[in-house]
Amino acid sequence: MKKRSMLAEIMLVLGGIITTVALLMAFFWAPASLYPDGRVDFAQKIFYFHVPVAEASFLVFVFTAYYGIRFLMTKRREYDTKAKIATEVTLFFVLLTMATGILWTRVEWNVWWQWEPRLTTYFIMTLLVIGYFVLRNSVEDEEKRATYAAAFGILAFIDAPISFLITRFVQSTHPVVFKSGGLETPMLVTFIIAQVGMIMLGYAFYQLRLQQEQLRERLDALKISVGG
Amino acid sequence: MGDIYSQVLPQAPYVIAAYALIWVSLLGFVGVVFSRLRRLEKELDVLEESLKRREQA
Repeated sequence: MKKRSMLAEIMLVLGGIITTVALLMAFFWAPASLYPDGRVDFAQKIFYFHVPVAEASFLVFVFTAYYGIRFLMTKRREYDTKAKIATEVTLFFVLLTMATGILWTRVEWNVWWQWEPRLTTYFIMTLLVIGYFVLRNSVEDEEKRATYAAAFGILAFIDAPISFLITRFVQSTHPVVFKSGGLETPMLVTFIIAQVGMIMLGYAFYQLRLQQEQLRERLDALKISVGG
Repeated sequence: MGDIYSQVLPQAPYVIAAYALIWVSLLGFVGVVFSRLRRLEKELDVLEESLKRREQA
């Protein structure tokens, strides 16, 4: 019996194809970035996937806050499940962003880590996302767990726009991506395609995990029926 | 050309590591979710069948 939604699988396949195309474009079409002294900045290639993964983490985190608010308003369990799954997918993207960012930092700044505004606020976001699951696992009562997690998720999300915008307001060594004249057209096109593909993958991951969770809940309910 | 290689090669391991990490993680995530989904679907089919048989009996 088929219990999965086709849309999630279509988005997964399309997202996979689009990100693969973006990967090829990054290496074979987008021109190499140059340092001011004319040397080739090969590490800039990390940008084409580091930034889309980071943007995807911010975007999916919106759903943690959104479903957290919906849960607090309605107390419906499905919103708690959706917020939890959104935070799981956020954690996946956050960890990928951190790992790829650290590799880029090592090449460009000659250090593995620097306490500059963007990295620091994103690190705080990482800790908050991990903290969300620590909180969930430390509360046994289902109702209380969902309420605390919803409140924590909403508060944790406040850090996302701060982290996203901080390089525009505070002096930072981290590059600002979205600024006028920041990228040559082939670079921008490659980046946008990678971004679209990553958002599609993010949506597919969220939907697939949600379906998995809903199946598990249905299975638990059936087990009770069969057992009783 | 040799000059370009000398500029690119020291950075290449980090770029390759970043891309490999992304691709392995994406594939791993998909693989784990699909294998769990398949297992759950199988379990659900067995249980639904058993419940149907019980209702018919």
